[in-house]
Amino acid sequence: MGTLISGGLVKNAGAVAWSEVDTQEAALIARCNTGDQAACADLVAIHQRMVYSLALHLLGDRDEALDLSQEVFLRVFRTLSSFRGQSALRTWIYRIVINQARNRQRWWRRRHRSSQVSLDDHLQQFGDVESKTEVLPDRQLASKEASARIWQALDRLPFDQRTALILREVDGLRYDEIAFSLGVAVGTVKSRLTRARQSLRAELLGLRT
Amino acid sequence: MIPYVGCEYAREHLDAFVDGELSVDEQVAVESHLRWCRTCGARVEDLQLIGDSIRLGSLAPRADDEEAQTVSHVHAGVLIRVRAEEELSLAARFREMFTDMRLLWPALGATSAVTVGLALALSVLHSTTLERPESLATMIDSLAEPGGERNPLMPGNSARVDRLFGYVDSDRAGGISMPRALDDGTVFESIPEEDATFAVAAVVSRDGRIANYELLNSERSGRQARNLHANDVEMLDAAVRQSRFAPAQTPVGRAVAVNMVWLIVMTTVQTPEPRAIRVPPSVAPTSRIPPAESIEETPLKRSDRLQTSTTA
Repeated sequence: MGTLISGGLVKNAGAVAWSEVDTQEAALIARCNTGDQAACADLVAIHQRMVYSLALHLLGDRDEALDLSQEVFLRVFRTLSSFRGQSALRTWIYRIVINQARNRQRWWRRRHRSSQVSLDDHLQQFGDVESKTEVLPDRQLASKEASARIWQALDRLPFDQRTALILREVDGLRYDEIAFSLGVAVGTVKSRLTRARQSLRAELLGLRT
Repeated sequence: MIPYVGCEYAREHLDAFVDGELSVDEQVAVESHLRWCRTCGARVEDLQLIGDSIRLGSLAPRADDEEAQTVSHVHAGVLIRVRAEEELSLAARFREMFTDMRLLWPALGATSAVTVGLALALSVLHSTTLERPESLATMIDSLAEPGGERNPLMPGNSARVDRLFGYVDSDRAGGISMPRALDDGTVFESIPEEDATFAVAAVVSRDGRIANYELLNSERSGRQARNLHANDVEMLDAAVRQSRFAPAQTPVGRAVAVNMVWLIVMTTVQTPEPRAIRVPPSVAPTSRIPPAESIEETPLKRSDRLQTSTTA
């Protein structure tokens, strides 16, 4: 439920209910559980981009993200029968991605930091990429340099703070969805977002001076 | 009426304000604060700039670019792996196991051999621990049951019976009755009628049988003593085995096995030879009285036995 005020959608934070799983999604899950290959292909097609994107943002390496996203889908199909609609399927998959990424991120980032994707290289190769929230053209031009610095600072944040901020800003998850994905309380999500933004704002202020 | 809120309250809620996670009242209050507070307004702009910068630098591939196509192809491989895992599930592996019988028979043979070997080892272990009298298991077993055949007591005053729990403590004073013979000695009649003395150390079991015995001493007199001694011992053996006793009992009436020394004495009682009766010749008999013959009675022989039980 939401209320439109001053052009912004104000959402009520609350527990994720069974209603999060809509009828179409529930039917897809049921078909997958019966071994329907077409349904499994549909499930992968629907979620593959967001799974790969989150894995890439958390790990910073394309090959690693591709490998991780395969593991995530394998785990999804192995444990889909235990999914009881306690959240939206997307949020449940996010949780698997985060847990898998957390396991390998600790040792992998230290050993493969040199091969991580540089944001400048990425922008040179692919140009600007789409985002879910509209960014005004003048501000977009102004924040290209800031974006690189922000992402560098983001890379230095603790895993949980970085994950919370990416889930919020890139994937647009609500606080309660982030809380479920991270397996923490909503209050913890708020504090992590606040601390992460304070660090990035300090970076931003340093950029201005 | 719009409530007034200060910078402290506003700053605590700026992140949720930017994220659209405030309630309606909180949203209205923060917005009213931002209308006049330029500091908090600048902070909100920074937060929005951070969000925009993160989204701008997002590495997510476009739906139509080459990387997205690669991702799609790779994920198609996931379905192949899922299908392969299902085919290699436990049931499928079980079925495969029986397709090649060359492995099945050796496996069954090895399993059988291991089972038989294990059973043999256990049986040997069991027999050595319980059957061998010097083994610790047997000792523990016999000590756990005072008054049993393996741990017989000594009758008399050398044992104590706990009246409350009914157990027998052989190391303390108490009263255990002597076993009493039930037969009248007929079992010994097969032994030749000669004077003999046998001392037998025996264990009288709880059901009144001779469980264990040993011939301690035997003495014999008479003309055939040497020739018949070996046979006598055999007959004594049979007689001892056939003997029945009323088992020894504790004061609380519990039958217990006891050690005893059984003294078997066989005597021959012979009446003295009577004098000859002579009639004086002065008395003339009218008729001839045949001379009295000496009455020589057949010696009354009676096998008797004296049983004496003494504690060993």
